[in-house]
This record gives sequence, structure tokens and C-alpha cells, in this order.
Amino acid sequence: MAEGVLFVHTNFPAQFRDLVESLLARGVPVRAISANTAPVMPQVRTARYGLSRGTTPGIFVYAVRPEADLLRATAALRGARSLKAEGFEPQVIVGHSGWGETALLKEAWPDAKQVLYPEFFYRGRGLDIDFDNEFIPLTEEGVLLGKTKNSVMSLALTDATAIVCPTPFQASTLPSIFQPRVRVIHEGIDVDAIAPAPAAPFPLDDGRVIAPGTPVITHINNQMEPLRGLHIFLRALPRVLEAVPDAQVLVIGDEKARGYGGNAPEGKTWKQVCLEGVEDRIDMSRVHFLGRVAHGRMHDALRLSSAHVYYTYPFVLSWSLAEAMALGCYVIGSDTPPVRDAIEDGMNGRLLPFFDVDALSEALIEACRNPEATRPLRAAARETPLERFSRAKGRQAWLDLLREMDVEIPA
Amino acid sequence: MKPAVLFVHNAFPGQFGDLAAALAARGVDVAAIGEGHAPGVPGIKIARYAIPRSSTPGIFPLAAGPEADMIRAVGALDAARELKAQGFAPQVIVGHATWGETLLLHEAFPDARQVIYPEFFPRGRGLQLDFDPEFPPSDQQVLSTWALGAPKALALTDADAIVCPTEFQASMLPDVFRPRVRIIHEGIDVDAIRPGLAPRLQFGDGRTIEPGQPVITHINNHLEPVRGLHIFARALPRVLEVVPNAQVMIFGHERALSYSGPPPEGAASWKEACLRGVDLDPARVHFIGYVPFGQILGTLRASAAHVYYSYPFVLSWSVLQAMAAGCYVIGSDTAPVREVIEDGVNGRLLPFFDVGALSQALIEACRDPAASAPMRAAARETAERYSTANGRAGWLALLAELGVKVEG
Repeated sequence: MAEGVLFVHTNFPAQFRDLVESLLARGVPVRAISANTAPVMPQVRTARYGLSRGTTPGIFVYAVRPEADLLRATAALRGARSLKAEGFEPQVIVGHSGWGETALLKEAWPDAKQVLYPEFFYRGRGLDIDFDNEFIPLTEEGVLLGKTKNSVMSLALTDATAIVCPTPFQASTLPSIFQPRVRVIHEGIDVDAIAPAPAAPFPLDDGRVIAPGTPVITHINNQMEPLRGLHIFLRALPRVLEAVPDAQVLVIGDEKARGYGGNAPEGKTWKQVCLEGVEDRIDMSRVHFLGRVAHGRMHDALRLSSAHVYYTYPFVLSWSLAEAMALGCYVIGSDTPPVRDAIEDGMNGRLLPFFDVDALSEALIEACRNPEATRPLRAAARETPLERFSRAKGRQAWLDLLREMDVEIPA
Repeated sequence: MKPAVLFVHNAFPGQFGDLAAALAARGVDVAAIGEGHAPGVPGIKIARYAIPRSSTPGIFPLAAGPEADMIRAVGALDAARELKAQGFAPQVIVGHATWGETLLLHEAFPDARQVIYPEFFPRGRGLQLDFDPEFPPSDQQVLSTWALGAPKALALTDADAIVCPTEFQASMLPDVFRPRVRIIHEGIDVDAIRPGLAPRLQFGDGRTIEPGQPVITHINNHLEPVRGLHIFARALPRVLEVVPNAQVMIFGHERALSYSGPPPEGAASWKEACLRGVDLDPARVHFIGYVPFGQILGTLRASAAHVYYSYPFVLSWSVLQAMAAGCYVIGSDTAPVREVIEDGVNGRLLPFFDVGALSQALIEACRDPAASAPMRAAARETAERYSTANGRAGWLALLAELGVKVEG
């Protein structure tokens, strides 16, 4: 008899960690399928797959992604068959559908219900691909690649009894035919632990310390790329640093050549590209690129923040925004659809036109000079994740959904 | 502004010939996209595309189908741009989904509504592929068939409406698409195809079959098991023994490729695989090959029994044509056939694999042709529901809903 839940995620447990732990704590059998590069979660028997081959040289460009997705789908099916051979029969499969892994699982378990999590449905136009073509010119190939990336995902979604998206904007990227099955559940952040607290002195690697009370501008940009507005942010800095002589800037993220938004041109990193033409005008002694930092240090930086900048193309919403809001930061966001899901301008933060560098400088200067003015917005910002991005609520919604699919889960 | 409709079918007109001509006759600006070999329709402009490249050698087998669809999609997009450059701007695109040609058309015509005709949706299980235990599919065939659904599913996400010719074909689609489905059979020409006196049938070598002689007919385009050739062939020896003057007429191509995939090991064709171990007298069992339907009608009028068997797969025009001609159809009791035949009412339905039952039914039909008269009349009535006129009316109503208003 079918019993339990199978999780499928290239990088398991990823978004599903809390849900997995909650199910285990309630005695629900859990198994997983992941790539062999995923972290190990020892409590969960995981079929870890490797790929049997790479992309076929010379393959038609629009078939690259379908082929890669189908390679992963076939590998995931092998994993499924090994779990099946051990006698595992899931009632429900919860899978991330972005990489194709669930597409063939009906071959192993035709009767299992599937709940799929398609973080984003690509579109050649109207989302991230043609939003900002300063660095990567919009080409026909780029547009058509955006569309064709969805092939295997479309097939996978036809197997979904329910589709879960973390935000209304991400849900809106799905074709309308799938909308009746969509529900919006943000997996949430730990809003109890991630809460406002007095700022502490913040030591920098070079020995200097930023004291509480200093005007501090924070920016988190995981891959340090324009998709999250790095270029706009850096261009806004010269005026701010000039107008606010004691302002300090903390930037968190990995300097990389490849981001969510594609590869940086000419073998550079995106950070190098974004600094071009502006580096000479920025007082770099006050701009601190911290790289990737531990979660606690990130929160320490945010607690010092006079203004936190979160800009993004129309793409998936970052956890860092929810965390900054939970910490009571004053967030200056881009007026783009994903950010509008979290921020209402003038209520719990600011929204500025993405490309308006001066408006951003202006808002940052204002925030540094008059931190008191942002107090009501900070208080309101804290409320937003309590309501929309709370882990407890996300967990409850997921457990309710699984119960609807007839999984027996003790309270 | 004149309404405009674009048809997309690699072998245009395919199913869309009558509709395209009907729209053009009503003043609609009609254009088509087809491959180089597409027959076309006189008076309708067609942008033909060449397939820009071939499949990549060594590609992961599951990706071969999706790649082929993407290649055609780019060809069709180029053709769409050619039409656009001529000033053509369709309100509605009507496209067949089986070859991927509609996938990228949104890029040329973002404002056009799309009506997608999927004909069938590939499934690794539960349809034709694993129906017959005699010819089981390999694991790779099953997985490749599932994978072929990827570009189909993507194309269907762009559909404002989805048209399937039969309920059974609609049932192949993933259920998420169901709310957009409309059942419209394009229809057959029931005015031209009607019952009539049995003619004398003449062979090239001068032999004839006289009216009144029992003739068993079977149309099987690719001579393959998907349409029951093996079961039919195995049923014949007993029939031919018991009914000494019975003659058998079989229409269809002997081809290496078919709906069934490649023939099994050791057989050059599916026909060969189906006839293996069956001894049929060539003087009484006639493989006619492929002939235009006009030449088949006379044979259908002479038919004592017409055999239409099918795995769960697309319904053939031929069964409706046979019913329109007033044939006594012995069909397989499988989902597509059940949709048009009710056992004992307008034909017979027999278990697909029951060779003995088929022999028996054929023997009875040859011995007592009068007994099937009520079923023949009822078959004709059924076929009239599948008329070209009804099909056209269904399509015009749908297009009107999508903004293409035409007179009459």
C-alpha cells in the first residue's frame, strides 16, 4: 500500500528542508531523489543520481535544455526504480519541476499524486530576458531559448494534481491553463529567530569596525549580478558617498562569472562588468564587498542597515528580501512585479523605477540623513513576513495540502 | 479589416482543406504554412519552409523527438515571418500540434489566438504502444514516447482552444487541458460516399468478382498491427475454408515505417510480421496496395463485411467512410471504435485478440448478408453525423467565438 512522500529536487532538501523535517517528526515515511551533488541529509534515504552523459555536441540549440532535462528525468527514474525495488510506494511526490526530474516518474509510480513546484516559467519576452539589455543584447536566440526552456517543464506540469508557487508573481508566470491547480505557498523564513534586535559593532576583515549609528547601506546579491540590480546600485553610490561622508556600504554575495541571468561578457565577472565606468567615482574604502557570509553575519549587517537595497528583474523573489523585512530593515526596492508582492511603496518600504539611478541615490541619501523618518516603514516591514513569509504558516499550508492528497499526518 | 486565419500543417491541407476553402470562399484572408512537400490548396497562399537541419547524430534518444519538433518550429517561424512581411496578420492560427510547428509562432504573431489540433497526445502507457502483448515496446520506446509529449504540452499551453476529432482522442490529453477542448470531427464527404449497388470488381489480369459474391474488405493504410492486420489475417483461413467463394480485398501500403514504429526483428515490414505463419491463398486474398478512395468505394459497396480493428489510437477516416457507404463493419471493441459503433446496432464489436470470434462473424456475414441490413442502415446514419458540413459548422462557430466572423 502506498505510504509516505517522495521529494525530488536536484539539490535536495533546498526549499523542502523544513517540510521534510516536519514530516519525519510526525512519523511520515520520506524518501528523496537528488543529484549526487546535493547535500547529504542523513535522516532521509535518498537515491542520488549521476548523469549518464552530457549534452550532445552540435545539438540544435533549442534542444539543449530539453535534452538536459530528459537526461535528468531518466536518471531520476533510475533512482525511483531503485526506491521502488526497496518497496517504497509514495502516496504523493513533491518535486521541483525546473530541471525535468519528475517528468518520467509516472513510469515508476503511476498512481502517486504529484505536487510540483515550478519556481518560474520562462518567457522570451515580458519577464527577465528582455527587461534590461544593456549587457546581454536581446537576440532572437535568447528569446526563443526562453520559450523552449519550458518544454519538459510543461510536460511535467501536466502530471501535477497541485502546483505550488512561492509568490503570486511567480504563479503568474505560468500559462493560464495551469492556473486552476496553482496555490501560493511561500516556504517561509524563521520569523521568530530572524527578528529586529539592537545593532552590534560590525568588524570588517581589514580590522576596522563599523559602529552602530553609522549610516550603513546594505545590499545582498548572491551572484553579484545585474539581474538583482548590482549595476544600478553601484551607479547610485558615488552621489550617496559624496553627500553622506560617513556612509558605509556592505555588499554581500559571491563574485561570479555566471548568474541566474546568464554569463558575464568577455570572460569577466558580473561584478567587474557592473563596476565599469563607475569604480573611479566610488570611494571604495567605504564600500565593503563581504563575499558570501554566514547567515548570522548577514543578519548582523542587516541590523546595522539604514537602508537595504533589493532590486530585481522580473524573476524569482529572493529569501534575502523576506529576511531583511523580518529584521525590520528599511528596504528600497525596485518597482518590479516580484518586489511588489512584498512591498507597497511608502507603506512597508520604498519602490523606485528600476533604471532610475538618481532616484535611488536620492532615497539612500534621505535614509542616511534622516533615519527616524523610516521608522514606521520598518515596523510595517516586519509585519509583512509575519503574514506572508512565515515558516510556520508555510509549513501549515504544505501539511494541509498533503493531507488533502490523503497523506495521513498526525497533528 | 478583413478577418485572417493562418493554417499550420506540414502537409497542408491535411485535415484543414475543407475549412480553409470554406473560409476563403467567405472572404476570409487565408494563408498556410507547410513543408516543401505540402500539397497546398489552389487559391490559398502557402509559405513553405525547408527543414533547416537534420537530427543531431548521437543525440540522447529521448531528446530526438523534441529536437525534431524544435527544428520544424524554427522552419515554421521563418515561414510565418515571410507571411508577416507580406502584410499578413492572422486573428487566429489553426495548427496541428504533432510536429512542433506552432511552438514559436507567438514570436511572429503575438496577438493571434491559437487553436491547436493535437490529433493525439503521446503516452508511453495505456494507448497503442503497450496494448498488444505480442509486440511489447522496449523501455526506451516507452520513455521516448512519454518524452515526445514535452513539445506537445508546451504547444498546448499556448492554445486558446484545443480541437480533437473524437472524444477518445481528447481523452488522451492530460486532463489539465480538458477545459479548452472542443470535439469537432472535420468530417467525411457523406454526399459522395453513400451506399449503392455492388459493381462487378475487375482485376488487372481480367479476373472479376461478380456482384453477390461474398467480399470481405479491410483498409489498413500502413498494413500494420495497430489496425489489426495480424488478427484479421489469422481469422481468414477458417473463413476461406468455410466460405469457398469468399474473396478478400485489403487496401494499404506495405511500409517499413508506420504508427507502430519499426517492425520487429527479422521482419522487413509489419505486413510480413503480421502474415508470418498464416497461409493465405493469393487467388482469394488481394493486397491492392494504396489507391485513391474513389476506387475503394465500389469495393465497399460490394462488401459483405468490412473489418476495422484498432489499438487505442487515432480513429481512421476509413471506418467512417465504410459506414457512410453502408458497410457492415466488424470492429474491435476498443475505445476509438466504441465511439462510433455500438455492438449489434450499427455494426459489431469483438474482443480485439479473439481470432475465432472474428472468423465466426465473417462466416456469418458471408452466409447471410441480409441479416446485416438493419445495421448497415444504422451505420449510414451514424456516418451522417460525421459529415463535412457538420465539421465545417463546428469549426466556423469556434472561429466566430475567437473573433473571425464570417457570413453563412
